[in-house]
Amino acid sequence: MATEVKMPRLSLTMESGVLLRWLKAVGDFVTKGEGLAEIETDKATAILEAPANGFVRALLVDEGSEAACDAVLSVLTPSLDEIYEGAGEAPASKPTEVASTGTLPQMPLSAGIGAQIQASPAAKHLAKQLGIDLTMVTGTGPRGRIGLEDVQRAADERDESPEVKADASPAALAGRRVPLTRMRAAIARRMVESAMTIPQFSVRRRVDMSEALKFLDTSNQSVSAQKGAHAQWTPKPSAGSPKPSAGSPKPSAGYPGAGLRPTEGTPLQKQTSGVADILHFVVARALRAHPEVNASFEPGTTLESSQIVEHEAVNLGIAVALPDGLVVPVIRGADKMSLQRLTEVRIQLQDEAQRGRLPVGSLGEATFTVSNLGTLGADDFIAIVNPPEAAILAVGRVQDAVVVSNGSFQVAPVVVLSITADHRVLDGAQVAQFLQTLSEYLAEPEALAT
Amino acid sequence: MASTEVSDPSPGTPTVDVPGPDMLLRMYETMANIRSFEERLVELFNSGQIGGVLHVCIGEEACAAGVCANLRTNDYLLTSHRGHGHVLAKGASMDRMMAELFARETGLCRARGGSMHIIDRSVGILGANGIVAAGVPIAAGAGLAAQMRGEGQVVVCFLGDGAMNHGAFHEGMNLASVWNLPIVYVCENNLYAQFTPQRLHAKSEDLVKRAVAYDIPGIQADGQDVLAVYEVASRAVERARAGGGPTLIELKTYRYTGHAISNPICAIGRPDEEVDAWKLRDPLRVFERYLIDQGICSADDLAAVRREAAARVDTAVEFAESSPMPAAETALEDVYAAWPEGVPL
Amino acid sequence: MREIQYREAIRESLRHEMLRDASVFLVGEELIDPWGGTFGVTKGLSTEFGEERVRNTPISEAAIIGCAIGAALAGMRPVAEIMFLDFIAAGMDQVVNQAAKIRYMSGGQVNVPIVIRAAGGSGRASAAQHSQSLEAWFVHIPGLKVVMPSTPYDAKGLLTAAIRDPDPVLFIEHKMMYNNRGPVPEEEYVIPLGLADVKRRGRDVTIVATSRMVPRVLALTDKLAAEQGIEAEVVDPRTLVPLDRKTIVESVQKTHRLVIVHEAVERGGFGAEVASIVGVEAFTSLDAPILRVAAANTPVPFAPLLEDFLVPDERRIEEAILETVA
Repeated sequence: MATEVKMPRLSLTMESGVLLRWLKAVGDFVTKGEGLAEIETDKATAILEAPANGFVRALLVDEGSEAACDAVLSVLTPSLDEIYEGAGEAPASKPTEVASTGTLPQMPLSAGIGAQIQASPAAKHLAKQLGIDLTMVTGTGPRGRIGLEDVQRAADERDESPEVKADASPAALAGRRVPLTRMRAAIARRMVESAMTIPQFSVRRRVDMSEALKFLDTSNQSVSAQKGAHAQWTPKPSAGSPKPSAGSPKPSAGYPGAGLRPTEGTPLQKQTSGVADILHFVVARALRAHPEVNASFEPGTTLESSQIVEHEAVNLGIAVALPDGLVVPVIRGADKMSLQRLTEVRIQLQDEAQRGRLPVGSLGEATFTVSNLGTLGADDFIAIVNPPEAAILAVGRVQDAVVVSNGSFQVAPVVVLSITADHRVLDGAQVAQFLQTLSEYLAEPEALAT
Repeated sequence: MASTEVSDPSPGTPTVDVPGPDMLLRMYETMANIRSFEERLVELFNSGQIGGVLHVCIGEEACAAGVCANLRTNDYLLTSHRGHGHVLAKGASMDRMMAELFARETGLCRARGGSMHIIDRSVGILGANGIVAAGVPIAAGAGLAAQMRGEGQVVVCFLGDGAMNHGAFHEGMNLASVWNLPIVYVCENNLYAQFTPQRLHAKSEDLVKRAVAYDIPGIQADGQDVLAVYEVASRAVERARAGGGPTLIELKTYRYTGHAISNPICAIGRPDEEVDAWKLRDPLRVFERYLIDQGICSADDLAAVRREAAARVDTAVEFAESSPMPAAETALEDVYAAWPEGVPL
Repeated sequence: MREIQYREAIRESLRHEMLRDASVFLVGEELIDPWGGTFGVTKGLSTEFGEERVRNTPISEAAIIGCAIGAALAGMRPVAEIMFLDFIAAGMDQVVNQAAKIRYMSGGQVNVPIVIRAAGGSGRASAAQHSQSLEAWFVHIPGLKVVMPSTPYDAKGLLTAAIRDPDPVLFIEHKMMYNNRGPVPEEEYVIPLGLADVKRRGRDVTIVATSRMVPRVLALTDKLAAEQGIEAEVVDPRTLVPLDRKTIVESVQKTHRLVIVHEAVERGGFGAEVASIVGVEAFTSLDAPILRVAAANTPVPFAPLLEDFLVPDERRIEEAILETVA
């Protein structure tokens, strides 16, 4: 039985991805979890992993080309003997919806099958004829469906734009022009959306890190003692990965826990926990204690019918800077992880992010993000909320400062924590209380240790 | 020659003359043809050379021969699913009937109808019918047309004892009676409707009594005696032709086979002795005795007739076997007599 | 041109055909004067042609239809009337197993040139057994032709064609339209079976409607044009079998949208057949899903208020049109 490998949809706004490079050829055998291709999504470059064991029977998308989410990219079969005929269907060719309406309230509309890109057959036909990319067309029909008019409009706009550019160039300033990468464009789109739709405010707090740093030292020493002088990187079978199933594998929506995977070429390194890790540790548990912060605003058809969703899981997004942008891999279930584990995971994700080999399952579904510019020397900063999360923590550098303690001056390591929050979900008091909790936890971290 | 009349309201009905030797011999020939044809079908079916749903009338030949001897070519005939005998007696080509059963292009119905739907318009056969009693109202319509045309045509409609219980029977008989249509309805009561004995599907043994309900003449006769059949049919046909309206004839007869060609002879409560007793009154044997006793033919003459009948059936089988199968696409033809060009069916 | 009623138009066709062809006769219940049929369609005909050619039957649908079939096989051209379309169920064997199939089973030796006229439809508080629209049953039987006229003009021309047609034709009238008036030529004329009629031209949406829904749709589309600038194209198939696919498909290719309106129950209704045909033959032209506006999947209730709720009304048709053009 054939397994289809599809372009994953990693967020509600993601509509397509680019297949950068195939890692396997037709006829190759892949094991489940093995990398099949490099894809570029709106968040990052990532590795698309094989959802099942099997032989690669077809590579349906050329390298460098774009495919819509849920488009079939490849097909695997358990054996080469199994007959496999031809390419899978292009996503655009779903049958017409035949719904009934004008009927009475007690007769529900018959659900149509619907296309993956919501466009009418006529629109798709016209788009093909005019060479319009449907993923770039905004639909104005019911439920955002793209209709003939929308395609025609897109075609008109495309035809008009060359003239606009021509007019602009004489007046433009001289300089190096850098086209937007997909990632840059994605970041730009998301941040504009965030700034324009979310009422954001910030609350800062200076926190004494003395106890936290002591805790870190203790923890690091005990880790070294356990594992010998050099901390070993031990590949383990992914404990949290899905069990192999006889039937068709579910589309990869991400692994339940960001498990460890064997990654080639990983140098042995000391898994020393740092400030980032203790913060992740503490933040995750604080989120557990403050479900109102571990939340999202879910818009309804009207503002009044919107809801606030308090998430069950604590998935911590950790912002990782890249040469050409920013990626936010996610530590799922961070509140259940020990400091050591959080450290291991952070290091691995950062490593994979730097090398552009983040597995697709490690992106998306964060409930809270931590962004740390302290390592780069920033004192403090105010981050922008990363939708659909309700809040984000911006961490500055730990620096010695003069503090007043018991009526006398002392020097203590201090860090500024800034939380930017969505005022539709959170009020100042709640954010301040959250920061209070963080402060208390950082003052007594051993009380939290599981 | 026994015939039991239940009611005969039309006075002055002429007495029927015994038919002349030619007619008698023709009737015997008809019966021999039917017997050979039907017996051969059983062999062909059992050896897998023909298939489908067939119902043979072995043992009932006198009914077909005796009634149809009274009909002209332009009289109309309707019959039931057990209609091979009637259709042959009315003059349909045996070759083309056999070809139809062999599903050949040369069949009477171009292999579209099969055993239960034999139609031969050229000799007035408006059709056998796979739906019990459906022919009764259709016969009324043919009778109406005959009446309106006024050329003395008569309609004969054969049905079985089972059909007498169907709603369509009542509706058709009622219409025929109230409009006084020139129809002879012949019920061949072979004592079983499918597998159910007559006593379990109708209260009275004498189904002919239902004629009273429609205020038409009803005549009962011995269906194994071809001359008795001839006589009662004659009177009914003449009555109809003269504008005297419909008659219901009930012929007591018997089939030696099961309901369908593949069914064994058993039926609910049918005792083995019953078959044997009826075979003692085999219609061909009965008639042969009469013909020989009356000096009309010799035993050898009759044997020769039977041989010729068998040979005729052989020829029919050869004709059928050597005929071409219909081309598959012809299945799409003749659904309608008129259909717009270029429009898919 | 003079205007006459739908029933009068049908009567004129019957009369012309009976004058023209002696083999044409009428058979059904209560056809003779002074009643002239339950809906007065055959009034005057028995007086003119006699009770031999306009025949009153007992209440026996199987006999009425069987009789028509037998007479047709014997060379006549009967026009049978079934008083209410619902009653045809009592004679279905004759329609489905006999009339539709005899030609085919005979290998083309014979044909059955009958017309079965029946009054269908709701609107008269006649309740479930006297109000159905059953055309889908007959559309589904090969060998039958099905006609549903929506105007007096169409009724006369189509009935003439049906009587002259060599095949069995179900001529389904609507009991609520008998009083509708419309322009009808006095002379005899034929509207060929299998030809749809574009009753209104437009660019924005195609509406395929049958029988009583046609005038209902036309009244609405004028209003939509005036108030909202939506120009609907209304296609009346007139004959359901054989169906004029070409006209319907070409219309949808032009407008890109299709709404089907029929009074029959939605499930398994004729609208599904049209939707499927258009879904295939005009697939790349469709800019919106094909919508059907049809009666609820219930029997027809007695109370007019309840009946109106279930049958497509202006509001529901308008909703469907607006949803399609959104």
